Amino acid sequence: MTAVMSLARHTFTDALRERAFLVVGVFLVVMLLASRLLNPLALGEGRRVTIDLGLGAIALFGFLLILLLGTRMVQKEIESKTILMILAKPIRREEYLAGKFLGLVSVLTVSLIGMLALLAGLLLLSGYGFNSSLIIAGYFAWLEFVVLAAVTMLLTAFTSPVLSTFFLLGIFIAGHLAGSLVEFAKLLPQAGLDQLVKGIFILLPRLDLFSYTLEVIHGSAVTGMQIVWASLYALAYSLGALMFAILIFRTREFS
Amino acid sequence: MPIDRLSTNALGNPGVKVGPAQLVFAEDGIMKQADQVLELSGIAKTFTVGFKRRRSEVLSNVNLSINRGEIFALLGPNGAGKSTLLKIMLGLIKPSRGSGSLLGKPLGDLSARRSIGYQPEQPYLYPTLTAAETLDLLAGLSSLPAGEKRNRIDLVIERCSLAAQLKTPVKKLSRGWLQRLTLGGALLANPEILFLDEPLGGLDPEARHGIKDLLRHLRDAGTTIFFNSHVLPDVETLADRVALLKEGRIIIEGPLEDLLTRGEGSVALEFTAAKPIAPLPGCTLIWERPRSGQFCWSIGEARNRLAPILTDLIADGARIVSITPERISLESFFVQCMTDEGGRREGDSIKLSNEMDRDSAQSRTVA
Repeated sequence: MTAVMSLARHTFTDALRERAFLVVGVFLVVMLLASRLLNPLALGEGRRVTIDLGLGAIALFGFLLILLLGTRMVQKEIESKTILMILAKPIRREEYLAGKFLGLVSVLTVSLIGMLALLAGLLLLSGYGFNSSLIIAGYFAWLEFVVLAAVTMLLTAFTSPVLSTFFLLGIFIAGHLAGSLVEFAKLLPQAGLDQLVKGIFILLPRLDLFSYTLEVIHGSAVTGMQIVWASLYALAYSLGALMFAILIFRTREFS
Repeated sequence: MPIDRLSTNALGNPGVKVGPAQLVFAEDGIMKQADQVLELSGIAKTFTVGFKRRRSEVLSNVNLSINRGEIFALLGPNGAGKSTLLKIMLGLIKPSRGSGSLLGKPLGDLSARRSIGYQPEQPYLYPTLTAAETLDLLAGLSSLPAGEKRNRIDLVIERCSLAAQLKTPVKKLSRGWLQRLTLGGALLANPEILFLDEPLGGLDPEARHGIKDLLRHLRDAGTTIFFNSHVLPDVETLADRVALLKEGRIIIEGPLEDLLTRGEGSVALEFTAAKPIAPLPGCTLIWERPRSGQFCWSIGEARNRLAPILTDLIADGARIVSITPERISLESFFVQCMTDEGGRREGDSIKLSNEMDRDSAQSRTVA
């Protein structure tokens, strides 16, 4: 466990030095500019526009961070052969992946907290008020980041950074549309095709489960069951993806 | 109580003397040498390359054993398979055929890796971390007990003279400092066996001298050291045993001293005589000091010629001062092996050991 935590801590420090958290600064600039430009046009819906834009930007910037950091994280170490030095130590390959995963998740968590705090600050400064539903939306965004980070680990275990980027982009888009896939499958005329679509539906991460922007905007209550179900799903999916990543990573040779 | 091979006591007064090989009965009843820390048997490695997945054999039937407390050097030209063999030893890649053991455990075993240190050829470190953070990371990965971690880091900082560079980011360190840092990282776990890939490459003479001294001290304290290097003069002053790898095969292996002195079996004969004596047939003059009556000749094929020459010299009133086997340099030996070996068959490697019959070894010499 010490080795995993040590790797996670230094992965976080490395990301910090690589200026990964610039994304939070960019988020601030985007939000300030957007609120200045859009609020006068929002016809009294300034709060709604700010939250909608803010949560959308959090999802996008978090995804960009995973795309830029996560997809290169392991591959960079394979290319630079840092991995040889690490795996020659008494560390299992699953511990290495777990350390990298936790490091990535910690970077995402700190970025998310920073972005949420900025959004909350902007809402307060604009006189729109701030309620706890924003924290719940932040929690759901975090679950989505964790799932995507695990998927990234799986992709980087067997593909190049370029392919990982394309796959992750596809999974991100399809994952948000996953709920519609079953409905789409029912419309398909051929019996085999709907089974194929259902198969894809099972494999894809249900990222639509983590979208709670509308509930936050309208102040609708999110039930405890929804939170538990989403948390369990994120946990199970992440563990599954990491298990596959470990199985693939164990067979890799670093020449 | 574990021996701290890096501590002042171990460095200053080598308390651990490595004795000769001991034979013990293993559980399976087979007699084995107790002090072999690494053993490879029939190791082969094939990679598939290119779009057509062409098979390329990088290593072929490699047999090797390394004894506890020795400095073992693996030599070979670029592309001979040295790095691949090292990675197999470390368990980073699996052999296609053959097997091996490291510290009595199968290659790649986690518990064996707790007792090894590895310094790669290139400093594969995180460029943004400082030297202190790098050591902290490597200590964290070395499974050191919590209370011991700080002490080991401090000891490594002292032994590798890293104190002045602790706050410097890795990307700003010179090659020499990086070498020291990676060596320090390898020493953190107080390893029983150290694997070093070109440990002296890119270092200035002073740094090379310092690292060689440190390696000798570690060897004296009981650490086994395995390294590959292209810097043959350094290998010559450091290694106890060497192996030459060519095109994936070990073509010769043995104690360095034996390899370098067996050549043509020539000796340097130093003697004193009242009057100058012209070199006898088969002898060449190395140096002479006629005023003091000192002479030194080289005698080729000494096995057959030495006895009659000594008889003649003594009859002429000469007094023999010394007879020393003439050494060739490792560089010459290396070049000879690389050029002469071409015609030999696969698996026909030469192994020299102290117990081996020198006659039979010499009859098969490639040098």
